[in-house]
Amino acid sequence: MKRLAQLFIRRHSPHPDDASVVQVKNLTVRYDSGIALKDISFSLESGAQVAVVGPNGAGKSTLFEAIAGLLKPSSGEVHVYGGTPSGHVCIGYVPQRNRVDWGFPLSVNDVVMMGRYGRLGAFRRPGALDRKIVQKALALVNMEDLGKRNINQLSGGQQQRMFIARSLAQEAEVILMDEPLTGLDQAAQNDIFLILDKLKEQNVTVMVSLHDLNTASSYFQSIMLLNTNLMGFGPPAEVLTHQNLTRAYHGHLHLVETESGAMVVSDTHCDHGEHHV
Amino acid sequence: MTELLLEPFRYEFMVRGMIAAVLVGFVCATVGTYVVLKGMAFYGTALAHTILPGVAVGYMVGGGERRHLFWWGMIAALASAISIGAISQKAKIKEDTAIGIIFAGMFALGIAIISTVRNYSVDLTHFLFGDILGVSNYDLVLIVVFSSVILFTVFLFYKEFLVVIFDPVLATTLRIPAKLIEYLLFILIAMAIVVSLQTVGIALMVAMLVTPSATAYLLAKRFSRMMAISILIAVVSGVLGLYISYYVQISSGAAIVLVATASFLVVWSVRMITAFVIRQAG
Repeated sequence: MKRLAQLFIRRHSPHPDDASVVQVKNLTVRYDSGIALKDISFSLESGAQVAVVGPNGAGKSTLFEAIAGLLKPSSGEVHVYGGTPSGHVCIGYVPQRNRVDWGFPLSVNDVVMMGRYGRLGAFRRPGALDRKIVQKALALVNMEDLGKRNINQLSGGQQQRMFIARSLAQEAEVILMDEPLTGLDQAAQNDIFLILDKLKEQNVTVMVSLHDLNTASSYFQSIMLLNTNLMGFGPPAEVLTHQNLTRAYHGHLHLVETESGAMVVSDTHCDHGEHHV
Repeated sequence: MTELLLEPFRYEFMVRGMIAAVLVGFVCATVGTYVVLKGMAFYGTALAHTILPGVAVGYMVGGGERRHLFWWGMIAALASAISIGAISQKAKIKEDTAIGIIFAGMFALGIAIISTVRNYSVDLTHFLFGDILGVSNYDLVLIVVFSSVILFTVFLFYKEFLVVIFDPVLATTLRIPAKLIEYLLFILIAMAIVVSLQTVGIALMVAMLVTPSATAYLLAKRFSRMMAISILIAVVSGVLGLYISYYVQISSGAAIVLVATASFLVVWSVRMITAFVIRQAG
């Protein structure tokens, strides 16, 4: 039985020291409705934390889905630790909160434990080690006391932190967070940033999609500006220039020039967060 | 009282019926827990109806002989489960529209085939509303075998099914074959439907899949407990329904479903009243 169970465990691809954590080469993704990403190339080193910004429909979610191995590129390549994403269980995807049904009869522990399923393989039930890992993951996001709580009794910030804990239980070394700040108040947003600091200490590579450019530029050393094409990737001052932003947002931003570069006064395009169809 | 409870068991067909009712309740509630959480009640209804042409062909081929109906139903159910799954994968039209088209079309085909036989209405009634007292030893063996297959599969893939219906994206990043697991669930639903064909019939099938689980959903905070409560309600409904049908002389399938429905209504009302009282007090 145990050997049979082993068959269902996906072998975890090795992580060679010399490989970039994430390497994207000439990535293009086309849907029936049109082109979502065009000729994107970049690479991330271990422990990098990148804010991915751009208008609605810029391809932020598509980029994450390609890196997580949820969709196949139309052309180009995505490598994680030198291999295809589908060979790795170390890529955590933190979904937008509205992507799941909060009415499920599950506790916080149950959901975080799901992160262990990939390592458990079929037929096996979680053991003491798995429970310990779940506990540790919850502690990192300051939710160790909420393990038994039903998921429909969580605040937005707690829901988001639970998903991050789930990625940690998955032992993710790359975590992709899709709009984690949307709908959270300032205090809850700060909780997330504290967690990001802890993840940095643990050398976890993180990509976070955001729609608030000011938040992005004040918290992240590295910004990726996306609108189907990669418009810029680097420190905020270099990427969020007046010229780049006008190109990416087609004049849907009100910009004010300051000494340190362009500052966004208001973003007429993303008032209410992402509107996915 | 004891006499009242034991009286029906003097008849062998009642004993077989009771065993069938318990097994069907057990299996449908287990699979139904996933059906309710994933919101697949319509899929279940449709799948149940699409097996009619299979059953009808078996009925024609066997010349009214009932022995092979189970297998014909099984073939039809598996074929439908897989084709509905495939259609919903790459749907240009909306999924529920596609299911609606196949469901009604297949059902009409089934009725057309059966109606070529003279005096078909009694048998058609059995297909539609069940004939639990007509369960033969051979049927019972098939019910036991397929129930075991379904329950064992759920035992093996319990957590995989859960993660795939709760968060398919997570399942993919965990490199669990989400599509395969989803098809496996469709196949289990199809099997559960055929297993319960004789007990409640095509038209009432969906009640066995969703009603006990929906009641359990109102009562349970944890998934495992929801499944356990659902099984308990379904088995009790099966047994109680059969007793009622014996003493009150009503259709057994309908009696079982009515007991399950009544339990849902009671739980739902109590919940509503409690919520109302709490609101007033607060």
